[in-house]
Amino acid sequence: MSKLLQFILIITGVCVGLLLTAQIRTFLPASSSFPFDQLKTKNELVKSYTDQQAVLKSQIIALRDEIAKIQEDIQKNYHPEDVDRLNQLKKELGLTKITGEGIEIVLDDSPKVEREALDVNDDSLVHAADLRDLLNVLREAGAEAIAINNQRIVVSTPISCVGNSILVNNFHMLPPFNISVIGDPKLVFSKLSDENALVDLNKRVEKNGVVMKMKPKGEIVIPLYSGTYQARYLEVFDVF
Amino acid sequence: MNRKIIILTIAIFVGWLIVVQYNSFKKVSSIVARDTSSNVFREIQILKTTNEQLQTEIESLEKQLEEYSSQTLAYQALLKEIERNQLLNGHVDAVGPGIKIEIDQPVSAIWFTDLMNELWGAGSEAISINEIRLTSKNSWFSQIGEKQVLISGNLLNSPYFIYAIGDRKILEQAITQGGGIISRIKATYKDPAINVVVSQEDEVRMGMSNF
Repeated sequence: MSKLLQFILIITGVCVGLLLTAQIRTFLPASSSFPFDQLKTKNELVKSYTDQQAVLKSQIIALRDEIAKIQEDIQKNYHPEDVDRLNQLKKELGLTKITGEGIEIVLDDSPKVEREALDVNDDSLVHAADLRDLLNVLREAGAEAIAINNQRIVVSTPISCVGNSILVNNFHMLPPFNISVIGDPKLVFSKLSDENALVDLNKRVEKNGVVMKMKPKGEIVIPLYSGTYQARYLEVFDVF
Repeated sequence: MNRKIIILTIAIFVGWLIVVQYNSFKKVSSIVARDTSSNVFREIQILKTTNEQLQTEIESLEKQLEEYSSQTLAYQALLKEIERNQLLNGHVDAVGPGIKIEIDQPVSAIWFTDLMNELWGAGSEAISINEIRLTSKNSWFSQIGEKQVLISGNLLNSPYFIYAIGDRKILEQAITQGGGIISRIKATYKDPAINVVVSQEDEVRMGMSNF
């Protein structure tokens, strides 16, 4: 066997050895391989809980509206300053409906991909992190109120990815995401157009077909927050 | 001829290994991605728990409505609601059990965004970073250069001390689980290796927000 061939075989053998070693030592994250019928059951369960959630949230909104009406009567007849104070606090917490000028943003997956497909390119999808980053920029721009697919966003709103879907306020959502923002449209546009803002998302809009559209709107109505504020552990700290 | 077949076979095998290894590295790098693809039934667990909380909120609002409908109790209900909302929005000092997170070196703004998201998602009822209480008026993070992070326009210097009030066990588990936010931060900041310490606290005190 010629020396060149021997050399080639030795090098190839070394490479094979190195690659085998690397492959054996690489820890792979577990990936889902649930059978089709179990996924179908899961999707049906999700739908059932989501439908129930929608009903519960509409009951919460109705109750908060009814309480607000009684508070209005109290304001007119008895304690206007206290009700004013309460309304200001409720506004800060997102517990009141708000109307004003602003912008509407649409974020959607690339039209060339199917989110549910097995081998989809992740860069062509909208991620929970994109929504979080967008909210961050909108807050920096002084947005007075924000909603995603009619879900009011508050300071404690979690936005997470679970499988193919995204949970906003623990409410199941799929794209397109319609983001309503009440605030100064010029300031919001200016912040969103900053090249240092949303770097990763803008790159994927340009290169991977993720859709992001914005337009100003004279009147936007953002509903009140229909989730819960927990205070099971939180107490007022009273020094005395 | 046999030699050529052997060489060809080995070359094909090497090529296959290279592709498999590349795909493995791609999957591993997803561990330090900002979102993890969680257990397929986690969504159901979250939705179930959320619906239970919504049901509890409905019961609480119905009770509140009853109080407001009573002439003798309405004003007390109003004052109670003011006090609760002041507490929730950081208008008063707060206390409660929770966790403390210490991070010893600068991290970028996106990791703060993600860490706060995890803490709120795990049920935090109040959060502060370096004694700055997070509220509806100050909850955004921005980056100047590579190492300077601002919270609502105010400089945040490391080391960072983050406190969250809530169920201590749940909060700690949520952020320290394998593949969770803390392990992702550690995987991102390896050189020098970042030190993140999470501890449960019997009592966390937070001042009111200055915003």
